[in-house]
Amino acid sequence: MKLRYNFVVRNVAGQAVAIAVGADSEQFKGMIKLNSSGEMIFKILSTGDITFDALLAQVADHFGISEETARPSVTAFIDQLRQNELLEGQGI
Amino acid sequence: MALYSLADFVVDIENKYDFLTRQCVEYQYSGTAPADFTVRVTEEDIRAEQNMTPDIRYPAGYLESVCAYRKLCIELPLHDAMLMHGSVISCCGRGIAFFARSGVGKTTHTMLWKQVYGEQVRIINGDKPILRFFDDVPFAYGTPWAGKEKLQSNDRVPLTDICFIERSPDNSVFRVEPVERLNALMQQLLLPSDPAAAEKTLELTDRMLSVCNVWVIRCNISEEAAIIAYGTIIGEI
Repeated sequence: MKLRYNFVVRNVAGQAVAIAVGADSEQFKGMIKLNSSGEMIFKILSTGDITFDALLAQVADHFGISEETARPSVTAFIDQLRQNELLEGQGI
Repeated sequence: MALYSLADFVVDIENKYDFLTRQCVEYQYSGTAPADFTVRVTEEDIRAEQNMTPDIRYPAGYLESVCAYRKLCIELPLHDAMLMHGSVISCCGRGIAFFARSGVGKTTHTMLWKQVYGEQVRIINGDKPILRFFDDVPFAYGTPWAGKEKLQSNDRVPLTDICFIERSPDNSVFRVEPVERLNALMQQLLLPSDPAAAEKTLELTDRMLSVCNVWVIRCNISEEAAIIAYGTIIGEI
């Protein structure tokens, strides 16, 4: 799975935000606010196509927690991205 | 080739129509420094701009001006500066920016300050000022792009206060954490589609919010609105 659009992710006033850039900025306008795990997941997904298991492993490694601990929040975030049509490809 | 001084940059604007030349006349540069960057508008750019509003036919000169402004939006972040959609006044040594959704009354509120406080208030720009950093100090500059009222001065002021105007029957002013009005602010930024320029714009926004006071002005269109805002922003800091 990968992000449908190209995004820039950056912290503004203590809040991580993502905005679409390039030709995609015409397709997706607006700003996505991200919590710390969302920011991490967004940054990983921005690098290209990745499987859910590989994403889960990277998030767990980054936060120093087990994959089973990370799984509910990663799953919930990926679900949200899918519901908002921000993901393409298979993942879960 | 025509050189202009915009936000203390020497900008070479390659234009074809008189509209832009007349618009920028106050900003002509007569010094000897080379251009910091060039803004070039092509006939193709003008056609593309016209195609964005197929139902309304605009004069080519006006479209050229809009294109030049869009190109500035892309170029400025690469030089530690950005264009914003808001008005900025200078008052008592402070630079005060007013942001509002379209139609809420940013220009009306700006004019109320001028009406009540006269010479104390200088309107830097009524619509699209440039923000430029020198070290950690953000300066708001006037630009030739100043909305239909053409409220602007070829001047600058250190930006100290950012105000979000919201309509209300009564007048009140209160300070908020920058993050509380991030959505509103982002809607008033001109985010370039170029990734590097967009990222730089977010960085500049973060730096601006780290040094400016952020206020919400809930107001009507009476002079009391300006008096209460002035008293709170200028009087209590």
